[in-house]
Amino acid sequence: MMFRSAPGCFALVLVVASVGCTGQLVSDQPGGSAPLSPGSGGDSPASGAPPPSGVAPGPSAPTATGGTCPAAPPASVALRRLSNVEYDNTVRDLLNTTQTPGRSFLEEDEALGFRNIAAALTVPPALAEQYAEAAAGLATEATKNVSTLAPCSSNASATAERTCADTFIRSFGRRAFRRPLAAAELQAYTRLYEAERGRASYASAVGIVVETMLQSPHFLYRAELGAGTPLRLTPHEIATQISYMVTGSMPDTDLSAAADGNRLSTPEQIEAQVRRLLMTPRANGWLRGFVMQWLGTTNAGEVPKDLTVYPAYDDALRASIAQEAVRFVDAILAESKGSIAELFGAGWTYLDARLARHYGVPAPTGAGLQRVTLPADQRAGVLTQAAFLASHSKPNESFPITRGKFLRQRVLCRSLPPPPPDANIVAPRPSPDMTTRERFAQHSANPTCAACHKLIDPLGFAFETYDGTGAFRTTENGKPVVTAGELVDVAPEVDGPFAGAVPLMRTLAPSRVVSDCAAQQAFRWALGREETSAESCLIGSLAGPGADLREILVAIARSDRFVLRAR
Amino acid sequence: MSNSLLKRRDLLKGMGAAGFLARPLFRDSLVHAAEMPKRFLVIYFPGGVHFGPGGDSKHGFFTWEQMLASWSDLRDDVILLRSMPNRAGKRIQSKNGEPHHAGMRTLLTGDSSVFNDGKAVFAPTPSIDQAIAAAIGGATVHSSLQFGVFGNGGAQIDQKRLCFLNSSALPPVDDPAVMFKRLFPSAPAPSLPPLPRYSGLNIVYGSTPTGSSPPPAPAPTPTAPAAPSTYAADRKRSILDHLRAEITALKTVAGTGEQQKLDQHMTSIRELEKKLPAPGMVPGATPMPISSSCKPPALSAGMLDIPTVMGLQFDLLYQAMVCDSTRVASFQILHSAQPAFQFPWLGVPDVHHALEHGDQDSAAIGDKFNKVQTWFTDQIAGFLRRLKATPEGSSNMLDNSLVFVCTELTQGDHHTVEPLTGLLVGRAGGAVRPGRTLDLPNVPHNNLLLGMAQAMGVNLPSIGDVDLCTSPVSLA
Repeated sequence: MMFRSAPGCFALVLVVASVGCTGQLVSDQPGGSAPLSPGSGGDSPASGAPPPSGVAPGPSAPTATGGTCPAAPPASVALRRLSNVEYDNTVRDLLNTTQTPGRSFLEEDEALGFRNIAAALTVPPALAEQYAEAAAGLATEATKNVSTLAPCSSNASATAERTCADTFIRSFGRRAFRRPLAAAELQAYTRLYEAERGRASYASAVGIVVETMLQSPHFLYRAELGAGTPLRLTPHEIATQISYMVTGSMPDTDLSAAADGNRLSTPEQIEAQVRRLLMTPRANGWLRGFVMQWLGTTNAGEVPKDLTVYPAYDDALRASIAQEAVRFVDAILAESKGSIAELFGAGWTYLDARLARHYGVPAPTGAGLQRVTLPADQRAGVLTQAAFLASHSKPNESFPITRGKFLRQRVLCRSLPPPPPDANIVAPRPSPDMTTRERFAQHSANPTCAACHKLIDPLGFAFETYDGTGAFRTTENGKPVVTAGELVDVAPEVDGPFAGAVPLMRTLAPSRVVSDCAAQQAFRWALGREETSAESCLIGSLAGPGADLREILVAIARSDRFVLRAR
Repeated sequence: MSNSLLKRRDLLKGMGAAGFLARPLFRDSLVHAAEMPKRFLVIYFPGGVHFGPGGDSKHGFFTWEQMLASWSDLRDDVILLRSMPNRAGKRIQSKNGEPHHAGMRTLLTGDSSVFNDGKAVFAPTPSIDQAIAAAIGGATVHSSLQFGVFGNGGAQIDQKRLCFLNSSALPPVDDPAVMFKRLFPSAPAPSLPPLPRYSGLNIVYGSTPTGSSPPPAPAPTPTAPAAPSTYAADRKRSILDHLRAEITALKTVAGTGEQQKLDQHMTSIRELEKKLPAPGMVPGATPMPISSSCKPPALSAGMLDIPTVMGLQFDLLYQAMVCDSTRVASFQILHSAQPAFQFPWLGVPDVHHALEHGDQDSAAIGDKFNKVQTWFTDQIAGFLRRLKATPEGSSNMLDNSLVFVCTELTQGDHHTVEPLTGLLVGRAGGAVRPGRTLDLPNVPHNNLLLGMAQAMGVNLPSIGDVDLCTSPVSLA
């Protein structure tokens, strides 16, 4: 059962944060624009799911770029539990608190590489306990100033006090639930209030309303339940979706008013709100979170390395690496509106003296991180930065298979078949007189391995000029590092030979393949689910040439995917 | 009303929330002194073992037997499981080729459905611990508890979850301070440093990575308890009643996929209700002594690394058992693809996931991997010895328990999930006969899971993939 069949092909199995391998080899792309068929066919059960019975696909939808896609069945209605950071952002805006209880909540489960995928976020008992405790703490803090929270004259009559409470329940409920309370809900909260008022103070009775609402499913889940025929999100649900997509928190006053006034019924009205919020500083920080989750660099400041192999990798360097990653993405979002081509191809970055030494470039003048132009033959874009390179390698080596697999799946959005059933997946041993690439030569020598590894390894080998901590190198173990290779089975516009990471990124950065992949990732993140194969055409239309992340989000918000649901 | 119920209620009246032991302080064993509670524990460690070039557990330089060299005093308490197929895991591997998704996912479920495409969640089958908890968890404050030692961070949901209920994963609680609070809500909080988390928190939050965390939230104080006797409990009950009504109403308008999510939420609300004293009961002033050793453990630590967290979490699990806070628990050490933590106290600078993947036949990797795995099993043995040394009834706590010590892979560097190997420890109050080896090369492990449940007095028709369930493995 467990014999070691030489020769072995290691790899498809490793990657730290891999997305599920869907079992479908995407090859023979029919045209220049990527068809985006993740998991279509094969035995991937949920992709291309048929529409729920009884739901007729609507008419063809115009795409953001002017073409037409066949209509796709809407996704099912959903309850999207707030992620922990969304919880903290929301209570900050709701209660003007500095408490951040979400930081110690049970960690969200990641799926598809993101922390906001609806299916992965539930309320297990341990979290319900934490919600209860947090709600009690927040309510206590809020009711210390009950005269601000729920103003009422100190000598109000019972009737007058009841009116104060009624006003409070309506207004606070409107904000906590992100929609007006239904009549029955108002009654239920009034009963809750009165029962508490019967045994305790006004503040305590106001407090029980706050404490309960903060544990309510209407607060903890963003509802996407819709109304009408065809089933369409309500204006308040649309406002909520816009707000959490762009800012990671509850709708602001302006957006709430638009929902109350039913001014979110057209793509143009939705677009106007999305564009307004995209210009706020809060959007920048929130979208940075998306980019870094997508690229798997959120742990950049914490990636462990073997200090016997990389003695220079100290705490200060780690901190600088993380700061570069943040500062660079922020600049892309702020100055280039999130240009995909710039994200992956920029010839500049932000370095401090410590990181400049690591990169082997002159230290910038001035303290802290400074914008520097990089040697044009050494680095281009975010994938050549230490945060990405260190995050996608092993503690003691560069590990091209991890890097190559990540690139193919998450930057090119191409799926990979599983390794053959009896593949020997044992990694080749480190060898003091070989380059990493030479150690993995078996992958191309063995035809069984080569079939898949030709899709992965060349992408990883291209980045062999960077060691496991992202330092630039031209030799390894005294031998020259070879980075040339060939990109195969991605798309005609990019397939072909390349000399190394920098020329490869210059080809990929402005390509349709990469901008379409950015759109696919943003779609998953914005809607909290994976696309169906019927939605591939639409996703392929979200990003045009010169795509940027903001325009992709606008296109997602304008699409019928944003507002239509099925039961 | 049965006699035992009457007795139980009388008992309850005498105890309650006074003192720091704010949890229902009864257990059935006090009512039926002759019957000791049976407990079911799962202790997981990642990455399998290294069998060496020979290919089975009898050859090669490192085996389960060698790893258990320090277990000689526990030999008569152990069943060594060998040669058992994990067919459900094999099915997942043939579906998507990612063994990390196959091993943990199937270990306690025998269920080959996969988290896929961000929406098809897990099949409705609960994991075996949850199936057992559904039957016996009603007697305790917590139906079950999930302990973790860095069981979160750095991997996708299907690579790191062991326990499932209502198609939801139940993540382990990694932070000993959080677990302490759950077990001893009224005791003074232990002073522990913050738990390192490999989750890019600052970046996810949109703050700068060097920025320090805001100060922790002030401890909540109860809201004006005018009448301290029943006020706090009544207030909590009002809230929970309200939440239950809201969830029930929401369920009628939510889609089918979301109903399980709401079922899970409701389960969690019911767990909160169990912590309240029965309606109308006045909490007394005298805590019922369950056992003189039932007390909040004194937790302290300078830094929270793997050895410290493991020690603290084992302390808490032990107290949870001594205090009868739960009879079903899982204890998850790391997970199947843990990229973040090194083992400096063993002189191993590698992370566990890299050790799993390295060529373990090479001394450079194999020695380090074996060192780490042996350290895990040594810690587990230490905990089991503690149970054995705790007298209970006419025997000891280990005899009254069934502990499944498991790992998701067979051999780490091959990432094989078959055969499933592991240990069953304890006698489940006499239902299990340890001190032997169990070789079942043709029996899918679903039947072992059913056999464990049976030993716990829980008869299940099936678990996971129904076609893999033939007949429960008898452990008697």
